Amino acid sequence: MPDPLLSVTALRKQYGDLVAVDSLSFEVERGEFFTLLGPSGCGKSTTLMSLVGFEAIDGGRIELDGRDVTSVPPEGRGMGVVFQNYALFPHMNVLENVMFPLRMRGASAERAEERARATLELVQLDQYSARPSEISGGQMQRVALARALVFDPPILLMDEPLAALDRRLRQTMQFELRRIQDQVGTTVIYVTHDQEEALVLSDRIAVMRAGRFEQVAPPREIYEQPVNAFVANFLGESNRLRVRVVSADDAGALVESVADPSYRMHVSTAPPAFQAGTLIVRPEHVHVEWHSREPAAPSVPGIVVDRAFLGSGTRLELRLLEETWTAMVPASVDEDALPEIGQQVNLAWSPGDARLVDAEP
Amino acid sequence: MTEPASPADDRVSRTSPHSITARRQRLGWLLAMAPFGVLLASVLVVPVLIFGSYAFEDGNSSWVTLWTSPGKLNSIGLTVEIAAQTTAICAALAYLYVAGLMRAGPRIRRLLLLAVIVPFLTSILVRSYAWIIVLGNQGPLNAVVRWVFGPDANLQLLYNRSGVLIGMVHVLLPLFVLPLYAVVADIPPNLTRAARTLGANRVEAYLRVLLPLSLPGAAAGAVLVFVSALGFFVTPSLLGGLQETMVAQLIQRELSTFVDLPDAAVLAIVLMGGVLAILAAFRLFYPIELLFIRSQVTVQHRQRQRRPSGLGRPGRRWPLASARLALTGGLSRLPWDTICWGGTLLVAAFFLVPLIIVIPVSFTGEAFLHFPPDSYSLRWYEAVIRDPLWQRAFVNSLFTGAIATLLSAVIGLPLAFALVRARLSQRIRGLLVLLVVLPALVPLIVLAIGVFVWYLRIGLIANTWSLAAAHALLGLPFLVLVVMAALRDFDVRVEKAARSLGAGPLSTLRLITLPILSRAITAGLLFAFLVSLDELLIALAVTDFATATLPVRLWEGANEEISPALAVVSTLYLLLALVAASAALSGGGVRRRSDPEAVDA
Repeated sequence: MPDPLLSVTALRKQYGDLVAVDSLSFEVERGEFFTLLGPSGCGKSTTLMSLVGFEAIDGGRIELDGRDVTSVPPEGRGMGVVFQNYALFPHMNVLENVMFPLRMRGASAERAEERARATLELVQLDQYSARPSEISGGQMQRVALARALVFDPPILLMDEPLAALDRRLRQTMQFELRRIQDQVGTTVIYVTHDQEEALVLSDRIAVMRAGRFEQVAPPREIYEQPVNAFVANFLGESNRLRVRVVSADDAGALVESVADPSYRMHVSTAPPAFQAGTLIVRPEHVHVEWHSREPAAPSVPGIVVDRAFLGSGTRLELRLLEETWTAMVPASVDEDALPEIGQQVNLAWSPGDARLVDAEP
Repeated sequence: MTEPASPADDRVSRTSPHSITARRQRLGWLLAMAPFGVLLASVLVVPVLIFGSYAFEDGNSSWVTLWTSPGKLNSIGLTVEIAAQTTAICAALAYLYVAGLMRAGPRIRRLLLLAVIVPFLTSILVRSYAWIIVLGNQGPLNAVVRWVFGPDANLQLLYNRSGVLIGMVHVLLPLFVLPLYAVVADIPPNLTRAARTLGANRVEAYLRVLLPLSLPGAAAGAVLVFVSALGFFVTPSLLGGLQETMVAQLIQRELSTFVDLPDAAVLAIVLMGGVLAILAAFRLFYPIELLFIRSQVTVQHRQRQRRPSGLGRPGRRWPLASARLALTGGLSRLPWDTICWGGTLLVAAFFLVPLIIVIPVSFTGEAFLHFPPDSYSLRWYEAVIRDPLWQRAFVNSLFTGAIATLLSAVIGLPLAFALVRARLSQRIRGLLVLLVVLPALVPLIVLAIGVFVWYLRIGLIANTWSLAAAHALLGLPFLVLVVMAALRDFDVRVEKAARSLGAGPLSTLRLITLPILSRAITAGLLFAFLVSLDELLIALAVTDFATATLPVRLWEGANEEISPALAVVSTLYLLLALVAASAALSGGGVRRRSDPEAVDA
């Protein structure tokens, strides 16, 4: 990456024996929306707080815009931060909250107020003299954003900023965030455990587990080409099948089920470097067939365990080759025509929709 | 509607359906609160009113005496001055200590809190006595001074203003630390972090965010400390000089030396008036009873809404602002972590060292007080145990304490339930809580003389039971507040579950409610017992040779010769306070039990 805005090298943070952040290295480009995604306790918030400067790190180097800020105190790094639960100052009104960073930089009251008003306009909030306790969660979110943006920070760090909002408001705010980022053009590092949020907002997603990055890639690539079962499972639903590699060439690999080696199938993949693997197929790519006697050539039989109507379609839970799978049947299929619970069906997918990953990890 | 018994009653009937059950419930709650009313009237309201009435007995001559006596006016000014100095020192130390508390991990924090609570529960007499040892010519402090500066060096910190301030700060600092800590612990840590990311240096973040948000706690602490300091008697008497007399001492002197009840009553009214005026003024902008009801949540919400923060004020020239930023920026380079830790440890030592020093002194093998003792033995323990005076005092104290505790339990427990569970408007609940804490806020010297005058009239002097009744009222606030706090954390659904499973109301109380509250109740009872065991002034006023309690003997001892026997009794007191403090820390609330796991994870 030429001239990255933020460059982190071998960042490490330990609490006693627990390694919270394990030698992370990554770069964030100017204007990029970079998301740290992972389950709680994976180290994403610790990583963020290390970048801000609140965690004394045990190793590594942080460079912002070519400047080494590893040992600079938080107020000297000049990063904008939106905290979980906003951390608005309860004893100041909205305008005073937003003016705070400008006053801390020695701006005059008049100049600070002018800038603060402009930024509040950007986030579409006009309750200047309200106290944080008097406005709604969504409005608090906007104030927090304005406060972090008003001093033109080179980078904006957001720690689960939408977690406290209800689902509908969260979706509105996602698009708001996109709009504001487009308008301001700032670089964003975003921490969340919500995969949908990550997919909607990000230019690139880093999926974290136990202080390490499992995969760093654009949303589509993460979803379609997960590097392992953890990533596949964390982003969206996935069906898994334990397989052994039988043969491989440049076009793909032939694998067989561990549970029943008589079932063999092709996967489009680069030649795998492992023998034992996991086959991953997204539910929407599984084709369910239950009418014809003669199954389409490569298919695997499964038993319907449960079914649920979801509105956009019907979701089937299936048992096949000692695994539990899910598949979708479109809503266009009549309810009477749906397979019954206990009925055997055939499942098929195209080699390009399946993904083969190492069984471990 | 039948005759409304009280304004509280009136309010209830308006909000609840006019049914027999509601009326019966109302009657039940009223019955639960009534005994407290009787006790409050008979050992506080009536005695204080009777005592006060003497001020007007012979026209206004006593008032004229007051206004024309420069000595008395001087003493009033001096009292205010000492109270203000004590409050200022407490404020500085409390902020330091709370900063340390906030920096500490859970385990250290517990220890630091224990260091506040143990002295808080230790007898004032014991603490004053400890300071006499520590600061005296033969004490450890002067031993160090002599060792450093030569045999003629001497630091005279006793029997002057510094002695009074040291002793009073030691007694009152917990009253500042505890409310301040309650408020500061509730400020989200993200706020100061947010200020830092927005460009504020450490000092600015502290001044702009933490300090303003901590003010309600500081104000509460300051009022409690100042008001209590106004009525101080024991500490200035034992540690102060003869030339500086505080109002409480003056009242006692009027009575014991000049036997002038009207003059004493005038001073008492001035003192009470000052205390009540400050409490009322404080209540105007902050309902003080909320402090006792629920420190954390309400303190934050009840903040004044429209206080300008200073940030938005126009017309401030920016060169001034940047000069300030330069100053605070420089200040924030100081090693604040070290400063806070050092200060906190010093304050913790200040809390504990004088108490700990009493222990080796009690084992001295010598006839006189001297530190460090040249030889150790159990001779003073033997002497105390053999002495019929100490024996009798010990028995009297235990007996009085037991009756007082029982009485405050019988009156206080139903009262606590009524205050939490009865359907009352917030206003009336607040006022009732204010009444409950009133005995803890009235200057003891006034109460003691009032009780003395009143008991004299009705012939209850030198009676252990009547003394216990007065002690019960003093212990009641602690018991009621502790139980109320636990009751508020109590999940009522547990009781509903018990009822749904077939338990009647009494079985539910006996099998579910009381067992769950048992730790809080135990802590409350221990508090009440300690209060009685500690109380000097009332006991001094109403006991005779046969009924004198331990504090009375300690007081006489400390005024006569400072014998190591006092250290023996003090050590026993200390042991008791330690037990009570650990009980209080482990039993305060129901939630505490799950705490360690949450913190470890």
